[in-house]
Amino acid sequence: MSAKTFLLYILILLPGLPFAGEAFAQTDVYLRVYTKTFQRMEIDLYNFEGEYGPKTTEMIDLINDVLSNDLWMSGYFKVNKKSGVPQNNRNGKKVETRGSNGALAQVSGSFSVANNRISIQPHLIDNASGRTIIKLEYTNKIENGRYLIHKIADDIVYSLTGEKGMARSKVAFVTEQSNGVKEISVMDYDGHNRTTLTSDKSINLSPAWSPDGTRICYTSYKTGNPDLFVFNLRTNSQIRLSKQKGLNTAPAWSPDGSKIALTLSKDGNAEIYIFEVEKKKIRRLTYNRAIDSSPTWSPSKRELAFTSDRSGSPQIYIMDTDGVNVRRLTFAGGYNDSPSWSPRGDKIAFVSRTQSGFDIYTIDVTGENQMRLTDSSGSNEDPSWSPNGFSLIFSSTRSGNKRVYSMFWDGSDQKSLTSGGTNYSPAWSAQLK
Amino acid sequence: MKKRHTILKFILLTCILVVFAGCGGSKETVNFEPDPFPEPEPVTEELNLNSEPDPPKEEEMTPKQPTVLRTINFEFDRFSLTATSKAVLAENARQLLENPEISVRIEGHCDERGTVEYNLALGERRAIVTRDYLINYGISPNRITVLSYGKERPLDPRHSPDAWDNNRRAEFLKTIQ
Repeated sequence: MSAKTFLLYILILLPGLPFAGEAFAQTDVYLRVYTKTFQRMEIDLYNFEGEYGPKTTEMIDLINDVLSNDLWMSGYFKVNKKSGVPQNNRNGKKVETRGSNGALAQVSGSFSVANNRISIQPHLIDNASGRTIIKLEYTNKIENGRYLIHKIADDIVYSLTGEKGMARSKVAFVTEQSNGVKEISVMDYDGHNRTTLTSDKSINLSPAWSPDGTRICYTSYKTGNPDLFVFNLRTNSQIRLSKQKGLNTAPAWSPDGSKIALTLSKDGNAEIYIFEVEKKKIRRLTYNRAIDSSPTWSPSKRELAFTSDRSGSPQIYIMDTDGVNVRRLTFAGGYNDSPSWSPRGDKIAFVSRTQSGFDIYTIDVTGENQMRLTDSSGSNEDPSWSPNGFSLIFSSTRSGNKRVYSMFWDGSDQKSLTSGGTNYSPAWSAQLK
Repeated sequence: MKKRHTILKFILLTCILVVFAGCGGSKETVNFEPDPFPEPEPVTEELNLNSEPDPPKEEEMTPKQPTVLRTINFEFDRFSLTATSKAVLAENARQLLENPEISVRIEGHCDERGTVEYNLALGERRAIVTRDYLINYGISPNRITVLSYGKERPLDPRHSPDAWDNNRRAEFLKTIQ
């Protein structure tokens, strides 16, 4: 029996064994069933060569760490960190080919620092053909080093998979101070480069990105009433978008950026409306004495999922964007809220009340395959999808104060992105440039 | 003697008429969204009993008590008024009737469980139900505004069932017109 056949037998037999699930969960290699046969591609990553005085090792490690995390977080790759330099690579002769360790491609490169600018030259080679796919020079100010490495990672992901990378995407979230003040903050998708956008000394809530990543819409009490504001990241300024009597909450930008779905209570009860950003016109979608809130757009722009307690408890519903064809999506559990529609279109993440608190689930838009992703002490809330639909960001109280965490779509690899302070309501931007 | 009797009778009759007129007046305002308050009727009687003494006389006798409008609490994920809350609201309404110069802002709050957005809507419902109950007592809607803080301003910062009980509430903030 060959090794391969033996492995096949193990794979067939494993599901029958009680520990099979755990065994797979621990490998962290496979995206279990999102695309049933999908398996992460292996990519060899070599240390970049270069010189930066006493900070040389630091820079080598930075490039290596950021690249490997970006490639892993893309959901497509398993990174083999290699020491030394790739064989036969420098003089442009034959490179290691696939088969020696099964890796699809290899990344190596060099860097240099001069006049406060960093230059990085990655070299991406397809192992099967030995062909160079990327050999470019990327340059930026030294303080933008991380951004530059993210850009390289995005280009690697794009050239190998055809899908846009998301390493330059960002996360907006609420930062709560000890005096109850809540400001809107932004950080890179990996938790670095954290900045606070607003300094209103008020209560700012529910950040939502414009699809082009230039603006963040949110609810603020700065004028007394929960009104809707937009923060423009290019001009660093904010304007008030909606100041209807009562609630102006739960904004969600449409995928084309022209509309914002939101909750208004100007007619006496929390209902869902669509606000046309250019025309400043509003259109009411729901007519129900119950609470209707928290709309989220389907990537097709044709439907919205939302929360309503019209059945007596909060549940997730779907309707067309003209308010018709309302149908209930969730039936299990007495408290389901906070829907977030995957950019791939097929799944909706939401929060369900459990015995230990709240946990994050996904369900297919058909109502099938409800899956629990978090199962820990404390409450896990506010799910928001990555731009590629492979990961989620959420908040959790598992280690005390609320922190922002990320995980893959199957619940694997849950890790904290913020430490210290109270941070929640994360919203993941689209792919950015 | 008989004449005196007639005068007394007349006064008594006038009193009764005034009481009934008051009753009718209050009832007229009890005409919106009846569902959350199944028994508005006894409330108006209670109110009349309380408001019977002459207000000007009281003012002369003792310095006016400062109005204290007490907070009411709610059950989890509910916005209906409990019996305790109704009793507190009856007292709050009496004070508001006695102090027509006072306007109030009712702030609806929730406990930390559930989402920010849903709780903002729930807090508003709590504030609205509370407002509507006061309007039933004859408080002019012009004197009352509502604001929801959802779960954003907990009274009790702890993360326990006791804290949650304290935080699900409607508060009254006095605003002089």
